[in-house]
Amino acid sequence: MTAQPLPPLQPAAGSAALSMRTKTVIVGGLIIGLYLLPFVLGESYLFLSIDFLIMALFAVSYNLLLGQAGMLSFGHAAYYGLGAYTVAILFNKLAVPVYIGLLASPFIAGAIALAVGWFAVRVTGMYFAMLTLAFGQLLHTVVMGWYGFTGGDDGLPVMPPDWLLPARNYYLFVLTVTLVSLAALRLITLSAFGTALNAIRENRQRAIFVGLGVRNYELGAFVIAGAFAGIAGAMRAPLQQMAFPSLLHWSQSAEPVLMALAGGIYTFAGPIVGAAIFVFTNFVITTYSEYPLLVFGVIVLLVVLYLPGGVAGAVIAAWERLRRRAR
Amino acid sequence: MTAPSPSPSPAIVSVTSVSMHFGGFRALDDVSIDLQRGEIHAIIGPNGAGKSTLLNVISGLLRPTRGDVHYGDQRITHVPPHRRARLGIARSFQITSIFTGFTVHQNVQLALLAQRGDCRHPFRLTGERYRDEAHELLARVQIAGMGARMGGELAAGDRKRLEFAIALAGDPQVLLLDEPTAGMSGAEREIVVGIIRSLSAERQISVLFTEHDIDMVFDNAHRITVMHQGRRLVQGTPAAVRSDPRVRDVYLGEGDDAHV
Ligand SMILES: Nc1ncnc2c1ncn2[C@@H]1O[C@H](COP(=O)(O)OP(=O)(O)O)[C@@H](O)[C@H]1O
Ligand SMILES: [Mg+2]
Repeated sequence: MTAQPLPPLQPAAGSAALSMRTKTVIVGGLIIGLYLLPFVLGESYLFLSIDFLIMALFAVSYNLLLGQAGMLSFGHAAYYGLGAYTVAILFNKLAVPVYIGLLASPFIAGAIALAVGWFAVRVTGMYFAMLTLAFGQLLHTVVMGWYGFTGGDDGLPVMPPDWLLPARNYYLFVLTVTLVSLAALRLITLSAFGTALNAIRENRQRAIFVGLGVRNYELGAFVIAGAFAGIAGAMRAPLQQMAFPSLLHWSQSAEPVLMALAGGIYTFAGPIVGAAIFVFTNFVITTYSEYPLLVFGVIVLLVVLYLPGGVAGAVIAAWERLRRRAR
Repeated sequence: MTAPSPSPSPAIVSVTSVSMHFGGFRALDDVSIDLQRGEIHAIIGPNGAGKSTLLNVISGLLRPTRGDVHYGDQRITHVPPHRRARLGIARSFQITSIFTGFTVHQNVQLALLAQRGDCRHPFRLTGERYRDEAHELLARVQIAGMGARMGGELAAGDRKRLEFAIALAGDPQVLLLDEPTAGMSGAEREIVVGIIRSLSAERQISVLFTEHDIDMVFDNAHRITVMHQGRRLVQGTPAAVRSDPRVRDVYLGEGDDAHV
């Protein structure tokens, strides 16, 4: 059985709470707003927004595992980092431009996730968490040590083409890639495959005896999550104009876990909200503290204790209460 | 009102000389049993006799220490449980197993999606797929009115009926039911018994079930296997089992006052 470290919640609660029309209006408004943002925001805030978009995709990709399938992976940064290195290595060794490298990143990250997942899904719960952590650190060590190929701990420089250099252009590029990726992930969460993942999280034994080969589904989720994390990482490297081994490090793996928990793991929007909180606290805190992740960790702790559905879950619940009172 | 026995036909499930050891303990000891097509077959015996273990071996939850399980001509001893489910062997559990965080309707819908192979497709939307069929299955066990409720909110008897509907979702050939009417009211029992009898009579579905209610067993089973301490004690028609002195000994010996 999978360990259950998280509070039980009704998975349908979030999606049932808002009507289809309300959702369309909210999401449509947000998308339009996001496309207009570079015409009102200054450059430094634009970089912050790019950071947010990348983290949002990273967190949502992760939540396919944690929220949907109930798989607690502690090594998700490995695939994020591999996405960054796919872009960096293709650029340095073959002079492939970053936007082409980005197209390759989900395949490389997904392929490595397939190799790791093939072993990791043989166990569940804490053992799965430990195996993903161990494999993640293994990949980190390889990237760190393979100087000739990865540049080792010096990292690998990445130079975006001229047209992607202005913050506004790169923002619009990242926004488009993120929205397309999130749309794909949304379809997956609403698909029969996604429903099967929910079922496995709910009751693994019952899932088996309705005819689901649960390991294959878990492996599928692991590969898809890894592939999309790869896309997120591929957008990170050109932003920093560098791919660093620390992108694969286990401390980086803590970030999607914490973002998903902060926003709420049983709604699609939860990890996106979590990413916003994360990026914003980082921005505010870095000026005062050397340990922004520690501060964010404390925030998540408080959220998990007092708002078990995460911030997004709490907002939806409050909306529900308001609407019921209005009737 | 014993149901008429079906004419002899090839076994759809045969268990041959199966032993199941847990450490040094023999939960099943050289047990053989066959299930005919369309047959209603009851397994009875005192607690700890090995009834659930036998169903677990047939459904694939447990791999036997020794012996074989066949499904028709196919040896399925090493076939993983989810494949057996897809082959047409459905089951319920002694401790009812449903998706408590899904609605009642979603429970059955998921079973239909899984059985029809939809779940392999990451872009095939779940939506309202199989709504009518799910509704029919729920209507069959007479809980259609509860479709929108969460599985976890149901009373024990309703849960059992939901699990029964889940088991029926893939049009199974074989139903393995572990105490299907335990904790149910008289009216609920009638519903479940009625469905079992009609599946057997009209669609030649085979039902292997364990049950503590001896009257229910003798009224409905075509054949009965009595188990005791991991061994098959007696097998036969209700009449033969009823008059077997060994059966009386087992039940009286256990201090059970069942009227055999
Ligand atoms: N997984 C297991 N590990 C160890 N012992 C088990 C296991 N499953 C069943 N047993 C033991 O096997 C015996 C038969 O159990 P079971 O098949 O559940 O009996 P029944 O269903 O007839 O009441 C019991 O003594 C039980 O404790
Ligand atoms: Mg039992």
